[in-house]
Amino acid sequence: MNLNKRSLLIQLSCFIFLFLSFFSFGQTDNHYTAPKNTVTFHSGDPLRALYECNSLLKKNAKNKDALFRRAIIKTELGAYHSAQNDFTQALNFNHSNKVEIYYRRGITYFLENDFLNAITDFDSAISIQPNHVDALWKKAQSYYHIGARSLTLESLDQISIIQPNDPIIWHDMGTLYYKNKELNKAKDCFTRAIIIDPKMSVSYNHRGIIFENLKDAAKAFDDYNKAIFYDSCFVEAYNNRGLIYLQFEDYYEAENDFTTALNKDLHLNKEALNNLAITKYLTGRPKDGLEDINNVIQHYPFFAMAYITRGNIKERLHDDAGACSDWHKAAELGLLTGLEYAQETCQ
Amino acid sequence: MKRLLIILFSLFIGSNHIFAQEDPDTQNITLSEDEFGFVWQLIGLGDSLFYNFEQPDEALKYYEGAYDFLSDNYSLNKKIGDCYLKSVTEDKTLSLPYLKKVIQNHQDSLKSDDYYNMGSSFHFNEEFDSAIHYYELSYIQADTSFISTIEKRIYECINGSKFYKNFNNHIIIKNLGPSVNSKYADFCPLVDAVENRLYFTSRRHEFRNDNPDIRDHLSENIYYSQRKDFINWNEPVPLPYPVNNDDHSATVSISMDGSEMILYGNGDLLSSSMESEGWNKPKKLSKNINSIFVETSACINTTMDTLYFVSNNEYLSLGGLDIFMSIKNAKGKWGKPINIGPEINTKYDEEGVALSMDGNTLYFASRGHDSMGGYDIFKSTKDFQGNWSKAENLGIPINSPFDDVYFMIRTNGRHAYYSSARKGGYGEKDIYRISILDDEKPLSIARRDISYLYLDKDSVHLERAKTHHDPLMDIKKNTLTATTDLLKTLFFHASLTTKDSVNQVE
Repeated sequence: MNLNKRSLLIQLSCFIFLFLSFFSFGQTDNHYTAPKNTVTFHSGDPLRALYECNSLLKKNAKNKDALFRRAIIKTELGAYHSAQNDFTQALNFNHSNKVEIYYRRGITYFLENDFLNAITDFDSAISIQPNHVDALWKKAQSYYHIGARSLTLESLDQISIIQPNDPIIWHDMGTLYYKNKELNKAKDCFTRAIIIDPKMSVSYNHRGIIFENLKDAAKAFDDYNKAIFYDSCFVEAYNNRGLIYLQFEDYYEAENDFTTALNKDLHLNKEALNNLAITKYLTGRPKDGLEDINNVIQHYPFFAMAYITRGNIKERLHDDAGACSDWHKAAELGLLTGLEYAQETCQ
Repeated sequence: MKRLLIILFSLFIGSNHIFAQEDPDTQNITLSEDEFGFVWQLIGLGDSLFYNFEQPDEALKYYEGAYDFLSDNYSLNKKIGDCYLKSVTEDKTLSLPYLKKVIQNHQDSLKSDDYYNMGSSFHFNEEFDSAIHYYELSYIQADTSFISTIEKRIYECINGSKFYKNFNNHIIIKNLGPSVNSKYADFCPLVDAVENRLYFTSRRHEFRNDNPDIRDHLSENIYYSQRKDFINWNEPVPLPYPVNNDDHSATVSISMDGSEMILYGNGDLLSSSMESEGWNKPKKLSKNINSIFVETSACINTTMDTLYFVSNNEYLSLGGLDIFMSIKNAKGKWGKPINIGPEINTKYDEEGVALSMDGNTLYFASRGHDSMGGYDIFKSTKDFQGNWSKAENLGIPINSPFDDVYFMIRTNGRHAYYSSARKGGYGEKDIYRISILDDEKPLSIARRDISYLYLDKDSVHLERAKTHHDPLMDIKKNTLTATTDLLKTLFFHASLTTKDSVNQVE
């Protein structure tokens, strides 16, 4: 009897497990994001560690290791300014791990958005240890945050020399070149990222966008297909491929792709729904399109492009007053196309 | 009542007359004697209505009844096809299946007009290549007097074919709907500057209280409708006497503020103005405008000193209805009419003249120029010397092989109203609103821009994200790990002997 129960229990657990594992398919995240920091600077309770450091420093105020440890704990507790003092004191007492102190003090400045001091500290760490990749990354990020794109690129370039096989560096360099409107360089960087990691779907998708900007729709289409092949849940790639179909007036396929993008996304994908609304009004279903775009605006009331789309649909439905109101709203949200349309059409 | 009796009597006489003329073509259908009599009575009544009273819409009802018994009959199919082509309220393209039967089943006895009707049917159905084919077949057998008509039709089909290749997607046309349009002709729409009031002419007779018979329902009356919301109009009502009277009354032109109107009545152009109690009694325009001939349409420029009007003045016309111009002199009197020339006027009819806000663009309808069938809307622009440019067809989708006429453009130049007998309406001419969108307006597509994987992140430590993410692979890994764990547990449990069990009772 006991054995029967046990086997039943085992079977039941197997079933639940399999069910849960398959259910998790739809919930997987397909974005490339750096995971949250899970590394701690100490073991155990930070307040207790702080108490211990303070005790040590009471006995010997020049204990540079205690100062360094206390600075790390303070950084973790968010007391950046106080941490900077401790790091500085540790340096003054000629701590042997200067590289780490400069780097960590740089981090505290970075977290305070004091990017110039952060860059100085990262530079100090790099001057001692030129292959300090983390410091180089943070330096690049600091430059990025102050808008110094060429210096950011310089830093990323240094990292790419040290770690030539890191696809993320090439990807981000590609993105930076794209933002600088250097499309060919951007394309080369994404290609390099793809060579290093041939299954990097995000790079395919982004290279596709570059190809579209270079007016090479065939290659863009190819890249979106590959992005979808390597990640069948890649919502953005579906949306982008749908746009290619839309461009070539294959409305059926375009609608399919936008619908798939909507189905695959856990949240309401505003871009795909906006594009679906456009496809519907282009195929003579402006009322269906209006319904979709109303849905977008209900969920994303600050999505300016949706107001332009709704204005265009309303214009087709001969609701000129409604169209003008929507274009004005888009202009209020910062999309000046709205103002342009309103000036041309509205009396 | 007397008239009704006359019609019924004539129908009876007419039906007997047709019986005497034609032999039934019943070789394919076996009919009982009763059915035979009934069917031929239906056809006879239909013939009377169609040929004697020129009422194709009424005749169709009888022909359709007979068609249930004689669906392959050459003569009946031909008559139904003809009725549809001449119908006032029915879709002309419905003639196509009947005429196809005529062509397919009776190839030996086909005449020029059979091919011509087939060509017309294809023409109305916008199948221009097929239409040209049948017009050409008709041309081979046609009388010399009919040759020029067929040539004109072929030329229209060539134009249609050309215009359909350049379909303008940025022009949206909307039927004003069943609240405004009826199954009879509704045409010549006039709206005020803010599009709140709509005046138009209609041949409907729902509002007549004098019980008109079938011949009288075609008289024209002016109707008025108020805008309900952005898309709908209220139910139209006829304007009261003296604007509408027992004769034809039709809209022609309206001032920007909607307070002055030019009307058509009894072959002349009249003017009426809005007063506190409504529109006052229409007065005839000057004798220089109204002649002994018929004047049908007019428009006036914003400075109110130049009038363009349509007349069939035989002394001045190039053929049929033409557009004339009259200029107000220093004394405020309209001058003698001047034909505005062959760039605009043709030997065919011109109708429905309208001016743009600046007075430099003239919109009009014409059956000539490069029309694709019936009236088409054209425009012509005036240069600084006052010469009109060659008329330009507004093309598809504004024009169709049917009559497209009475174009009225709003002051913003982006919206217009007109009447068209195109396919898909509620019967004969309907009123449509046109929106002319910007050609350059790009699609408001949305995509997520290229984003960084790491550079713009605020994380303190460089724990790299994965470069490739495959949800299916993740599931496989998770499943494998979990299965291994499960197997380990099972193995552990299996290895427990009964004496190791924690639940063992000693």
